[in-house]
Amino acid sequence: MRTRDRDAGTTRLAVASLAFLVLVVGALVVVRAKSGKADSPSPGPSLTPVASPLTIEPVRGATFVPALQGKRPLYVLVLGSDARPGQGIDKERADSIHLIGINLKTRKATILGFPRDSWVSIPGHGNDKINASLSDGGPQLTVKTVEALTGIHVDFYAITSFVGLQNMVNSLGGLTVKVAQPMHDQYSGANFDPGTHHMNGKQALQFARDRHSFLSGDLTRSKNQGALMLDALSKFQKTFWDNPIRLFGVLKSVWLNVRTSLSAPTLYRLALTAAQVKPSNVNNVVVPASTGMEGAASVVFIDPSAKALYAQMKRTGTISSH
Amino acid sequence: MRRRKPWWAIGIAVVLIGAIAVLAIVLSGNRQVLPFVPKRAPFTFKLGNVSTVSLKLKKPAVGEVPQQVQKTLSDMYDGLFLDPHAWSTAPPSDVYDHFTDAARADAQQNGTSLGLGSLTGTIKSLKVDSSNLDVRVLVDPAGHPTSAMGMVTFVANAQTRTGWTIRITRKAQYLMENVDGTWLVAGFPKTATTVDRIVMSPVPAGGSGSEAGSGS
Repeated sequence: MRTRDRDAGTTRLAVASLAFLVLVVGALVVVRAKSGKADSPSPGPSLTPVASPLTIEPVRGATFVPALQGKRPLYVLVLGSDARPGQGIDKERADSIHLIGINLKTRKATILGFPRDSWVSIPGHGNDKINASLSDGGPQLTVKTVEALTGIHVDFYAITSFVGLQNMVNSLGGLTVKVAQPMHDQYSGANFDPGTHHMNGKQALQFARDRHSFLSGDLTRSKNQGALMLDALSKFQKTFWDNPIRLFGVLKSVWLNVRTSLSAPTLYRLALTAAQVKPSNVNNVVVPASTGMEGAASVVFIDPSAKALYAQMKRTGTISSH
Repeated sequence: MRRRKPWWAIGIAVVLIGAIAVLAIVLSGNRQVLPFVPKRAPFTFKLGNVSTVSLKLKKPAVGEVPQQVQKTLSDMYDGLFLDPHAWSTAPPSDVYDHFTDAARADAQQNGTSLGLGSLTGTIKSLKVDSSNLDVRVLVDPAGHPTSAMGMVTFVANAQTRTGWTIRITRKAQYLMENVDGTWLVAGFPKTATTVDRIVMSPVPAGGSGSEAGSGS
């Protein structure tokens, strides 16, 4: 009786084991069928395209670059000294004076140019041409002068020289510049017909310095200097987005060719921010002004209507229309 | 007389429970828990060219920065490409630990695009064919590394669920920054991926041919 029971138990165990085996094998077949073909081939020698519903689509690339953050706009005063090689960059007069406002939220910006002969009040030095503030007290005094004039707090300054400008333009591989009217000037060396020109550093400097080719002299020159900055922004963006690794080389060129109150990490972050400000979102403006005489000196008088521009720029970092 | 429990009933119960467990595991698709799935070795980029751009010093020391960049990007690519979850649904969430706070939200939004993109859900297996990482370090005037750029080339062969063999080639540049001693991904300004379908050549000595794939 006990033997019969044992035999029956053994049979039942065998049946159960078989059922288990069937279940497992069945499950594996189901899984393989789910994952594609039951007999998924290893890639063997074949020239016949495999019919498949799979469409291989491009893997869309994602991009992100950090930028400066802030609730209020950022202001940088950019100066071009007329110091020649061997002269102190902040001991001579400023040939180019531009206040750049950047709205960090909207990523819009404005370049506001001040003609170098603008007759203004220089703190502690009375009235004089604005460019004298640099030789009187260095970039710090020019910052104070612009702050007093506009009511805008300047966060940073950056000043370069003739040579510095040329070096930076050359490090970008030159700039593509639109020349609106004939520029043939023996003083600056500018010799450009109207049209689009690819300029190296030397030519870009000539373009930026020429004021004799224009009826409005210094006003047009200031506008051209702003345009050159915009061309540089475009070229920088192309350089960066084509090959981001070149960012560091551009930063090095800027660092070696400007004197600035920006720290290296801030300059780095500012460059990343600039990479994301479309040139079409940058307004190039020169303060409304007219030429005149102050004693024996030929000067530029800034129009009282400029105050409205300063107020707008102080509020938003930009000047929307002018 | 003590009545013994029928031992065969216990045997059948055990077998049935085992079968149900195996079925549940297999049918749920979670094959990773199966004991025969081999454990994956972590991926590591081959470190290639290392260069520095110094704002002042001629020969700045960059210490272990290249190796730390290598570690971060290797771990990130492990999650983006080699973790089976990335093949089927999305990269594992700890992938985003390799990003700075500023970059993390954007990275999470672009989660699949940073990795397999539209190929997610189609991959059955994936193996790295080759990889290379070049590192360029920006050193500030005080001699401190402030930023680094990691330039990545990553080539992997994958089997799709429909039986195709494809080659995925990713070329990307990553902006790296030091956050509390760890080099994290601060930006991903450039990523380009190509996918080629591979058809094996019938020529005995030959390797694999490649059909025209799709661009980035």
